[in-house]
Amino acid sequence: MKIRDLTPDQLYQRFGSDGLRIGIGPFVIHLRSPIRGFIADFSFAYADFPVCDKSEISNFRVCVAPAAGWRPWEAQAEFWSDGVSPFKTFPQGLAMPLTEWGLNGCICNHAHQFLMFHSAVVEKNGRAAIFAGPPGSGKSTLCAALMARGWRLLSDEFALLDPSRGWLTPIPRPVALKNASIGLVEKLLPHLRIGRTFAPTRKGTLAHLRPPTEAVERQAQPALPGWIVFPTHAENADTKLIPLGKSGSFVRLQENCFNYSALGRCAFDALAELIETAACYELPFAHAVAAAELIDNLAKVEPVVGLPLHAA
Amino acid sequence: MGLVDRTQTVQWGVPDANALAWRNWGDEFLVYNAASGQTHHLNFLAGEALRCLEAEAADVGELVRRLANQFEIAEGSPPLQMIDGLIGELDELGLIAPSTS
Repeated sequence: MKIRDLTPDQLYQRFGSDGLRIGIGPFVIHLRSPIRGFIADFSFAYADFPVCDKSEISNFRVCVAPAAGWRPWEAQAEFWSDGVSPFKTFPQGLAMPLTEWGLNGCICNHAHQFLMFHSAVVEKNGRAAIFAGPPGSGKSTLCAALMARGWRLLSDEFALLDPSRGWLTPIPRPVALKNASIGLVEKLLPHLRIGRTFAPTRKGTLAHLRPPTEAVERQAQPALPGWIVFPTHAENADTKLIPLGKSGSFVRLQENCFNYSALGRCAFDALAELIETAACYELPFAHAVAAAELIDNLAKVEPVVGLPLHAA
Repeated sequence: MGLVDRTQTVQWGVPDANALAWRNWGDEFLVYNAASGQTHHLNFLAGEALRCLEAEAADVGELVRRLANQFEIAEGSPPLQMIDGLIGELDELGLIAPSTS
């Protein structure tokens, strides 16, 4: 059963009582909330994700609950994960983006079976392109532009590298679109649905692109790394792919890694193998469509190199 | 570490606890130090000097002789004149220490 198979009343009843266990990438999230507006936003964005059986062990137990706030004219909410609330209370109307950030924190702080990078990841013909960079570098927009060219969404936020197998595990959660990219992605992917906009948030105006049904249905299928790309968006940039050396790419990707220190030697070996396997590029770009075309062409002309021995 | 006398007579080596892990791409090295958990990006000279000391402890003079022999250059050539300073940097990074063996 998928979330979309439940009626609004069923969703409200189940989220509000025992909660729902939802299969999101390699994780099972147990989510509870009695807030109708949040349930509607979440169920829209996660419509195609599977509802798991009660017997499934959940990785994270999350509750988005009403909170007493000092602004009685604006209903407040709080995010809890396994008894910890990482944020101050927030307006209930912003519960969806805050929950997304809260889930990011859950994964980032606990999923050390993976080497995790702050990256968007898309795949074509079994090989993945990893877009690594800080917020605002254009990862999500590039990711959407490549989805429009038939690439599969693996993740908008995390590259989850399995250190022992060398492959990337999908976690195709909704794509967080910010400000001008919302309108652009609407045009690029007219067949996909974008939820309501949230404003103001600390990242400006924000909306969530519902991931393609196919990406969710294939969320158990990993991909081998093919390319590591460091994008930087600037209005006046000369859009081009610039090949990067391995050592420099290692250092830059390490800077985007959430848990490099926690994994120690294992992280060094996994990152080195990833860098050896993938071709590395810098990508300054002004227009996501032109940048996506360059990446798409790479996938056509570059042969597979250095497949991890145990990945095939 | 900063107080160690770096005169020619000190024997420098890589402590066993460092258990260095290496990757070499072209003329650059990445080295992981298990004792500190740090990864270091080294140029060719620093990488080769560290590999030399990892293989066997040496004082500065001996290290210069080994590298000169390895690269087939004169002991007084410009790159090898930097070895003394390089030893200081590797020491401060915790990659080498005065050898006790």
